[in-house]
Amino acid sequence: MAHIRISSLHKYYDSVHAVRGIDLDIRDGEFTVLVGPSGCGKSTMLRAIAGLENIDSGTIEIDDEVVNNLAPGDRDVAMVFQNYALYPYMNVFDNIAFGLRARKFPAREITARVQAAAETLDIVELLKRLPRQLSGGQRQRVAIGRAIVRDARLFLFDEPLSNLDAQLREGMRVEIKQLHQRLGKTMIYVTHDQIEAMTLADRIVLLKDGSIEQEGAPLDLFERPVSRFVAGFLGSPSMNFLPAKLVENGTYLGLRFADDVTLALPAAASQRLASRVGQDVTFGVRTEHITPARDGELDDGFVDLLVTIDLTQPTGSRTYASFKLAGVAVQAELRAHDVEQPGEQIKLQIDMNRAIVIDPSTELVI
Amino acid sequence: MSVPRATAAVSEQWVGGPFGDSRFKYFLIAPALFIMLSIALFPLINLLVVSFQGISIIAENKSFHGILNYQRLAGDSRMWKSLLHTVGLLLVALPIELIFGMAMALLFVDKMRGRQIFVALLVLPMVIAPIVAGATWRLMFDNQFGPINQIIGWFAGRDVTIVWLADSSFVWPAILATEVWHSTPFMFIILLAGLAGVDRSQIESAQIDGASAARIFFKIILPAIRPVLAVAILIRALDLFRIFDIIWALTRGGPGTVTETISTFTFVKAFEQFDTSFAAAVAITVVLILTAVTIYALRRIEIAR
Amino acid sequence: MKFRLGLGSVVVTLLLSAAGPPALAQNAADTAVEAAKKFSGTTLNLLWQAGLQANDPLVFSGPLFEELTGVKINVVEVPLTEMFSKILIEHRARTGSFDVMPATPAWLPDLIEAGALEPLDDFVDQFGYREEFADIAPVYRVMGEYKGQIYAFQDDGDVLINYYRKDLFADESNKSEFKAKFGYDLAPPTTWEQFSQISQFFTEKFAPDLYGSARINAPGLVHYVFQERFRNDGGKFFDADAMKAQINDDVGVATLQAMIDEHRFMPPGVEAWGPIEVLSAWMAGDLAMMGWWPPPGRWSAGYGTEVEALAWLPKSTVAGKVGYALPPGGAPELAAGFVLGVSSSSKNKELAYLFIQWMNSKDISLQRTMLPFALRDPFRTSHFRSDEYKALWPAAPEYLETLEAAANAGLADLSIRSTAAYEDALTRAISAAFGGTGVKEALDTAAGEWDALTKQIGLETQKSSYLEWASKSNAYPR
Repeated sequence: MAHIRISSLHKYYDSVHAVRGIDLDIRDGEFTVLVGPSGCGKSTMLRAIAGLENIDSGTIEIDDEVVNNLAPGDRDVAMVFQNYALYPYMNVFDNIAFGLRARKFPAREITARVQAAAETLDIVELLKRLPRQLSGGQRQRVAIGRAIVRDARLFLFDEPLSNLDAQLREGMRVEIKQLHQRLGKTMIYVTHDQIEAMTLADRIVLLKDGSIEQEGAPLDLFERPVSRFVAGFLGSPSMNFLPAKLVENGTYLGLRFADDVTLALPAAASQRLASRVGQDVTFGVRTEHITPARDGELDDGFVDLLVTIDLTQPTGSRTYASFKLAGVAVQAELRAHDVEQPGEQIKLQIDMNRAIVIDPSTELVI
Repeated sequence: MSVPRATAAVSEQWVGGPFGDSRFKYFLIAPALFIMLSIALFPLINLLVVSFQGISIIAENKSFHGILNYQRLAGDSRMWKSLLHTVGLLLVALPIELIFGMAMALLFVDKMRGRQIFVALLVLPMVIAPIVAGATWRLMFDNQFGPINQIIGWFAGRDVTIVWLADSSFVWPAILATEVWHSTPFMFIILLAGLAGVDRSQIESAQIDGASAARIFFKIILPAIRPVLAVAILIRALDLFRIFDIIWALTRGGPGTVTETISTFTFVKAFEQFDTSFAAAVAITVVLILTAVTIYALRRIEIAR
Repeated sequence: MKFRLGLGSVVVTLLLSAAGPPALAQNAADTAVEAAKKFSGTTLNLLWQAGLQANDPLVFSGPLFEELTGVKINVVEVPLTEMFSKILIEHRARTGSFDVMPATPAWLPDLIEAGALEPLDDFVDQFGYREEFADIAPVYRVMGEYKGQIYAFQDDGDVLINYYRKDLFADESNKSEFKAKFGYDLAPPTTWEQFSQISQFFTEKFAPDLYGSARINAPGLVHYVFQERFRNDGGKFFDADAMKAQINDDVGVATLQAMIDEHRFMPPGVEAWGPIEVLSAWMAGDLAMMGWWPPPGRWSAGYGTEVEALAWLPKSTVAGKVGYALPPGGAPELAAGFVLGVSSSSKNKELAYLFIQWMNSKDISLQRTMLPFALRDPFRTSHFRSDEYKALWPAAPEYLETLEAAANAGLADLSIRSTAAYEDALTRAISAAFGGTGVKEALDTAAGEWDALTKQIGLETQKSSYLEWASKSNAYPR
């Protein structure tokens, strides 16, 4: 069990400022996911915590102890690597036992612990095999086994699922989540996959260009993004963004698009944005908030829109459909048979309560 | 990469090779094979034939002399001594080159400022022909003008006149120094390539596991570069067994026959004394020894299978 | 390579003008030129020792012969140590890749028995060379003869003479101190004991500024010194009946032991010195005595050393101070020395012969031995007495006198079948003894190898070859 405190962490690679003054607290037993596009500094941070990268300034504390100058082996952390980093010339048993042997555990305890870890991960029958005789998923389990057998206080995962195919990835995701629940250890998990981040994390730390863009519970970030970047990064398909102008629209405000279509904003948003009338903004709305209009009255804060569908992408349970709004392609989430063919007209409703308005000059949500 | 497959399935795909018609591959290698045979096999057969004849400076006697030459070499203590010198040098030089090469490779495998320049400089001796290296070191060891005596002199605080290449107690160290200087870069560059191929994350994983540097080296790095290491050792061992140029340039086998190796001995017999058939018998013997050792070694390192 | 062109044209012009109008009486050189004119346009291939020696055919004799006859001379340079191998290999392969073949006398038995050399007697008569051939100093003349036939013309008066510093030997304080110490007058040594004592005297008095002497100890050459001293002290290489090697007898052991003992009075590291080291020390004035071939006699006088080919040579600091003497014992080694022959696989033997007759003739050979850079040394009676030569530097008459005396008393290198193998065994014994092996043990090993070689070659074959050599007047001291 461990809590981590990172203060003003900086890391340079030659002239590249990879981590730019990050402060972060991670609580005991928390499952934290560092997520962001490649080059955002997430792996560097993880490796810095592990002790595999030197840091240029700042401190990393584990359980109130500054570990800046501690060798990786002395930090009592375990790490699972993207490519598993199994030792190819040792069988599974020896792979899992390696860390215990390095730490001079007695032979009997090593056997017992490896056995226990293998049972946990359901790989008992693989113990005598060499890594190259294992499938990708099996290797992944061995790699996790190697991490858990030591009972370290902190677990680090560096994109551990990115080498697996989609189906296995989903299964392993569940297992890792279960593992966390069972062990209750502090875990830090790096990924560039927002679905992994959303599904696994107690807390997501979204990084961009070496700084934290936003951190918090997954749904917090999803529902209340602070910036266009966060809004666009989380969620699949990606959020729709359209340029618009904030205008007076009767009682409340509205968003007017290039082709003079105006969408009414609900009361709360109108109040919040009253001082910005006349400004250019970016309108953001997720696909799932653009749905076929129901017959009858629109709910409060909903607007409707008659559109011509250009393109459909059925996924089975639902169909994503594109249409043009003021010349910009927008995706809506429809039920399977709402539209049979491109070219059909359909009346859609947009949940303006869930839409966001962004100041294009700062890219921040307003 | 993202789609794991059973290894069996992978190998099945390639049964028969990329060219389905198995005769086509013989067609492809035929010219190379022909050249190899004509420049390697024919001389070898001729060598074997000559070794059973009586060609010497006295006569070009091509009649069958049975195993006379082989009997002569069995009783030729100079030949056995030269063989002993060869093996002795191999057993001393190879570990030194290996250890130095490994140490240098470990030093330079990590990224550092100026690494490329250092590596290029360190590899320079390798691009120098051995005969030139020998000639250069001959000057270095010159007792009058050579820098080696001068440098030792600075430390000793007086003039030093070690006659490196004519004194039996100093001549082997001189040869060893030259050989190590010339060949360690080969070990270095091969091992550097091997080390560069070691998965960094395996090393990092072991570091996190708390393994000591020695444990990481012996349990992770060494097994990973074992095939490269084995090939490097084999190549260098064969080179050392055939060592000629450096010794020829430095001492010509002298003083006396103190530094004579099997190659210089064979050369002297074949091309200075024209004891042609005898020299052929020596060469055949060396070929047999080397072939046996190489086959054994290749089996051990599981390359030839 | 560039210097050769410039130098060559100068020399050729000089000599062409020196040759002047054709002589009335046909000499051997003119005869050869006349006869060679019909081959104008053909190319003659010469094998020649690489280095300074090759300047002779490259810049002097080759261009001159082409000028005179229209025959082109192509020089193939081969290092001395590889010449014998090259010659024999080319002969065995019957490549016919060169026409004129230089050799050292020690190689001749092998080359002649292998049939690599053409007998020359018929040519000698056909082109009227008898008279000039007879002018070659007797000890050299017999070098190219084998079993009563001429196979080659001695072309180089190689002999190891003793150089000494006249100024040091004439110095009054040196003289009186020496006499006080050793009880006899300081003079060029006539015994090896004197040599050692004189070395000791100068070394003890002047080292490290000057040493008594130095010796050519390089493998492949040091055996010449042993051969000379062994024979001067009464040693015989073999007992003529059983052909048993005797180099390890008391004389041999004493000779080698003395050589080692003398190192104490020579510059440190002399064990590994070759000709160049000895010569450099001599030219720099660091030695009181030295044994060497004839060229330093010219160079230390400063003769011809300004040519570019000799730019490597240390400038002489001893000009005018050099005395020449026979080495101790009085019978100097005619070490190596080149002969000229005609390759039996030559496609143009007559032309090849004409070229060597021309090269070897009184006229041309005098010019060649006066070349400063080609390492060819006087070998004819007429050379030793040439006024032209005597005028080259003040002490030249004295020099030539010494060379003639040396030639008359000289000892030919052991020249039997497979000489190279015997020399190799002897050389290894000497360098092993220098390197720390016991003298007796080293020589016993060598003698054992000699006996094994003799047995392998065939006792009778080798015996007849040895007797052929030993029957010559220059085999042992007279």
